[in-house]
Amino acid sequence: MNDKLEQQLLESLELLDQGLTLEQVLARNPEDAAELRPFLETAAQVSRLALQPPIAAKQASRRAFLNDAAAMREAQQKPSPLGWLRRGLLPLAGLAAIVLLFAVGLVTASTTAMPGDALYQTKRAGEAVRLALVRDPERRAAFLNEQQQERLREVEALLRAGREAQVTFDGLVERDGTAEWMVSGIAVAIGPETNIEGMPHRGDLVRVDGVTRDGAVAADRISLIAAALPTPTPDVAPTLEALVPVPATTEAPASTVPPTATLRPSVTPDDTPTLAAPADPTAEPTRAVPPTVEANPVPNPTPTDDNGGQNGNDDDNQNNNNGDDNGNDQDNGDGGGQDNNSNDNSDDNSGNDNNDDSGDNNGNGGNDGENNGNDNAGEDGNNNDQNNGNDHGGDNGSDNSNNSGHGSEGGD
Amino acid sequence: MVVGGDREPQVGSAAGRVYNNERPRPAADLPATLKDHPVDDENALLRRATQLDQDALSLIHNRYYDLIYRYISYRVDDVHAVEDLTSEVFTRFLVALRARKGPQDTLRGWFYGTAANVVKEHYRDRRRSDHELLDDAAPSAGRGPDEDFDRQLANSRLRAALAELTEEQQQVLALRYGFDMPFREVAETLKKTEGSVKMLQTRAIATLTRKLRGAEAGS
Repeated sequence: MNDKLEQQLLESLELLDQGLTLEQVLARNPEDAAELRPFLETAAQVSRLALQPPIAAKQASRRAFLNDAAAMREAQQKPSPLGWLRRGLLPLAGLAAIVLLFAVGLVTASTTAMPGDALYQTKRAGEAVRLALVRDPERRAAFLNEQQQERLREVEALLRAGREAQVTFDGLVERDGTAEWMVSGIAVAIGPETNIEGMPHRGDLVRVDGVTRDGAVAADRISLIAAALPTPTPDVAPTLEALVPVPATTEAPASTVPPTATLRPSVTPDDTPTLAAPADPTAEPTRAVPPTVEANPVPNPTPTDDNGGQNGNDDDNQNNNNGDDNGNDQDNGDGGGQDNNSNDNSDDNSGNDNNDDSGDNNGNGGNDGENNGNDNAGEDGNNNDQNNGNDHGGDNGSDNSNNSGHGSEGGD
Repeated sequence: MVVGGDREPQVGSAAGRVYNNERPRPAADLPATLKDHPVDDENALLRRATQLDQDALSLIHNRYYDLIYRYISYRVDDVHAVEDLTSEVFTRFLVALRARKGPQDTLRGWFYGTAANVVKEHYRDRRRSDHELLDDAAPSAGRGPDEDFDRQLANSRLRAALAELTEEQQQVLALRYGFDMPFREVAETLKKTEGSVKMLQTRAIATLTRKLRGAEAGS
């Protein structure tokens, strides 16, 4: 296309943009009209090409979006005497959201998503919503356990596929060699940069954060969640009740128990031990659950209190929350400024929110030594987040490096 | 430009629905174009959204759903994926609000950026997972009962040609016609001058026209 014609086309497109019709534009360039016509017709065709969203899809999206927002709002409100009412509403909102998510086909499409996939966040959000619907403590424990299993399955799938992705999962230490550990059947490579916290031993429950690479998870951090006790309580069928929280009760010996005495969450889904916090009401809550869903410890077989119904969520046990909310579903408790994780006990939340949502831990607050990636308030470093549409964190050296052109460009 | 939303396309000038003489005033219920909402208005809306204000969120969904859907539909040729990816953008919006790392710049910039990322990840995931979704993919050409066969055929050829453009050219077309951004804003978003954006668009149209005519000549 010669330059002159190109320039005319450029100007013609501007005129079309301003609202002139095709015939009017061509009328301004009578000599070149014949040549220009096909180009302008293409432009018109391109302008019409966009699909109009079907009304049903738009409405379904809107309902799900607003319901999820309502659930989020519920979760963030201060506790009120009508806590029971909120607890009743939350599952309904969640139920509506799920029904609609299924209707839009989104939940089923996302259930096979793995860390790094576009729909992974949706999958985690779906898990959180489903969990929010379940009030019965035993079922919750089963759900949480299933989610823990799912995290393990995802890691295995990533390893099999040779995909590199940032992952976080919980499991029992089966072997703790110098260069490699085995955690719930997954090889975890230890390197100079790996932080090992809490002195975990074989049989303990740990949380592993790392990257899948070359058949193993290259661990950035391994932190002890709960140490194993020598004998499980006899009356409860295989559960991990024997595990006690980390900073906890002084009488818990470090475990020398072979993995079979306690219960290991093996990879086969049918062997589902329930995770339960210890019966001791004064013990600190365990964080034996995968992130995103519940920061709070897993339910007790006998749920002590739920903080008087304060925080709508949570089936929590024990303490927690000084009335603030945490844990409900997606929010993870966060310590007043400290973050969450393992040693978050005692305090816990002074109402901040650590959302950990989809595997990213974002805590806020002061120390976040542990959480990688959080991202909060622009403070730190964030994410290892696969998703993230944006990352705008003011400071965050790492990512944001690509914040180049667009409003937000996630660290990718 | 008129964003059709859920209404029937305007029958009218030969140039088609989008290019015509009408410039109707946006009604409250019609999906408005971005041009009608200055940035300050959007900032106020964003503040309310951060508080999870239901009305603000509802307004945001109304305002952006169509634009995002249309933008994605320019870049992804599978109607189910377009729907899923559009919903994904809104899910990420809530996640971002909850994590308090919501849009720091402008709302529209955030939505555009997230939509672009979601599309990029979609293609990256498809490349990685070897199974091609071709069986499930529902080509988007000519949806709707009033699309006649000729138009469907023409649209599917156009889409094929569109997929052969450079990424930059596709971005410009998707932002201009899908997201309905004026030149100035496209230029800001892509960090280019208005002149380069116009030239990109012009050359994209020229290339498409040549490809389509070449296809016709050949058939």
